[in-house]
Amino acid sequence: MKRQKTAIMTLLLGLLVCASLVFGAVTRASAQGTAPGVSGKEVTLGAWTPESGLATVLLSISQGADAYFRWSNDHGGINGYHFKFVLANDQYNPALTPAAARRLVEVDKAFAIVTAVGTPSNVAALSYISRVGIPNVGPLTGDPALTHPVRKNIFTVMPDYTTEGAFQAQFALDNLHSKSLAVIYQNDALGKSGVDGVVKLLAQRGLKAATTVPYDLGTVNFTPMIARLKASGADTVIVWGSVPPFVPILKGAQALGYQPKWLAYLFDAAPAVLDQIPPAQVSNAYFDSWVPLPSDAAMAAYREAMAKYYPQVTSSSFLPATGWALASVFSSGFSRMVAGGAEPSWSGLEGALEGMHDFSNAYVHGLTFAPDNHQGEPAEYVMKYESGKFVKVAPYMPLPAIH
Amino acid sequence: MLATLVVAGLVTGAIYALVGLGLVIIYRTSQVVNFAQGDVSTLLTFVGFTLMTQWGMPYLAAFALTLVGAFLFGALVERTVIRPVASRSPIVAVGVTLGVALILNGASSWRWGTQVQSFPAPTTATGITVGGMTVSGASLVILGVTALSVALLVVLYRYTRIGISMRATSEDSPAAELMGIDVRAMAALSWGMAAVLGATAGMLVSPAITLTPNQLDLVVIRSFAAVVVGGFTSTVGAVVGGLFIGVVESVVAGYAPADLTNIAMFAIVLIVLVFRPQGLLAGEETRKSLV
Repeated sequence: MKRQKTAIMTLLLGLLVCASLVFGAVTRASAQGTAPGVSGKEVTLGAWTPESGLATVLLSISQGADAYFRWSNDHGGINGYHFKFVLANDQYNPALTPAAARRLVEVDKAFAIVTAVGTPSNVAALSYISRVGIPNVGPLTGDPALTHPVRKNIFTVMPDYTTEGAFQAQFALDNLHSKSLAVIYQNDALGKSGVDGVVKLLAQRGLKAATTVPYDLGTVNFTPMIARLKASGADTVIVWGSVPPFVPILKGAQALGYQPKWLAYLFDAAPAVLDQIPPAQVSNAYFDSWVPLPSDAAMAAYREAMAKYYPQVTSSSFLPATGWALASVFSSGFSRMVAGGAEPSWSGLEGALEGMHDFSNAYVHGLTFAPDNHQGEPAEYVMKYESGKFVKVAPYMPLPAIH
Repeated sequence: MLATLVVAGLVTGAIYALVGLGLVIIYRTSQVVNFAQGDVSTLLTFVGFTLMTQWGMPYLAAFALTLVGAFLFGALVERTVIRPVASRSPIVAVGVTLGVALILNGASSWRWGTQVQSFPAPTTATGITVGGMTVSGASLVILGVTALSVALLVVLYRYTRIGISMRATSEDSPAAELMGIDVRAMAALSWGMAAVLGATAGMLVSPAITLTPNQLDLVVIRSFAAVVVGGFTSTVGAVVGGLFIGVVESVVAGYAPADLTNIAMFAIVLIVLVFRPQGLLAGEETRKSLV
């Protein structure tokens, strides 16, 4: 019995020592500003992403980012540095994300997390990523928790969903002259952040939403939700959720004879999605975006790279274009860091990113980071889908201050 | 509004019923809860999608060919991965179905990608209008195909030799074998039929909700609820349970706070499990087999 106890205690002690060594090595790397994930001129980057599970539609974001790094490598890299982009499948399941993050940091030895996908996933990994201190650049989420308060190692590019929701409400009131606004939203962190922004902006103007109607991801029957929207009398409906439900929501509205103006974020603006919706509804739909139109002349490199590396992925979708744009922000920060011959380091990358002020390339517009602001995009434009093409109907406009 | 919600619930419930029938048919002959039913359905829906959109086959021909392929695929799954573990504890076979589900989900993502696809609708007809309420042509097709499927199953089980052999196998497999019934063939047959029902459900619902590798995840959960309510050994129970769950979901979501929808549905499931664990329309023997 005593021998057994001793053996168990020894085993526990051994595990504790191993864990301390692994975790200690990582945190030391952060503290000393050295660069894990850099081997000679090869830099390992990582992202968790849903390679399987409920949200695999988002995998094309990571494919867009991967295309960017492969395209960059094929064009000589940055100051001779080449990138290896490693994905960890968390199935868009926050219960699996911390393990995926640990794998990227402790096994794959990533230098930085870039374009990690998913709101619940990024929130689930937030504690670990903050503790370890590895840079997380361009996470695919607009959850305000990542940027408010500012965390020194987390740099989001896209607007947080609360701000984006407020932007949509502002556009509806000021540009579409909507009299009554309603929201239909996915009943999770993504949808709730968006509806929160709409409600806050309306409150700033002394207004209230006509109704806010949640739904679960995977819902087949949207008739009850549409009936509620219609009964509210709203002339404009803001949709907050992942891509697939956008089709049955607008089809459901058509079936019930309801034709409000629709406002949705850029991921719903996919031809494969919009081509399934009755034209009468699509003609009333507006999409806000910070990512340029994939068809823009300036996006030629993106389209060529997608055709070369991921020919099966539709490059006219905003999902891979988003991954590409986010990867370009990391790349620009990395380029600034090593421009003077400095060695890559976490603190060096953070400093380089914080030095980006009103930065634009072909893929981002007026990006600004600062020590007290790690949410980069300050503006969005609005587009419609007409005759099989996206057209801008409003130029880049500043995002409202809502926090 | 109530009538609109009820009709929408019946249409959704018909999909739950088709998927649920597949679960029941397999359970009756194999005593296996098939967690791969949703992913089998999705994979076969992608096959139909390929026939219709890439091979250019007419809708009905592609639909029918997919169902033939579905039957063969279902039987193949039974023969290759279920039969080898059939003599072991049912939990082993359940674990195998989970593995099959993961493999098929990965195969769908790998072959057809993860982006949203547009599945052709069976009809673009406007449908019928009754009392100011319009029921679309696609909804009528879903209701009609479900009714036809149930009718065919009833005829099969009651009036054909094969159907009676399947019932004998489900009630007492050793005795059925002693009577000369090929119980293995009956199992393969049931897996094939379940795949056909799953493919039918997938191809009918996809035009409404878009086609992705995970489109049926929530449908399968609702279908499990339907089968628990109706009874895991009752084909009629699966249909009634499916329609019931569909209508409850629709009406509650239409009138009550949305968070109550799941609570209402699964409260019903819990009540049934506590007071009538064999389901509302199944026989008493299910209680023994479930325990």
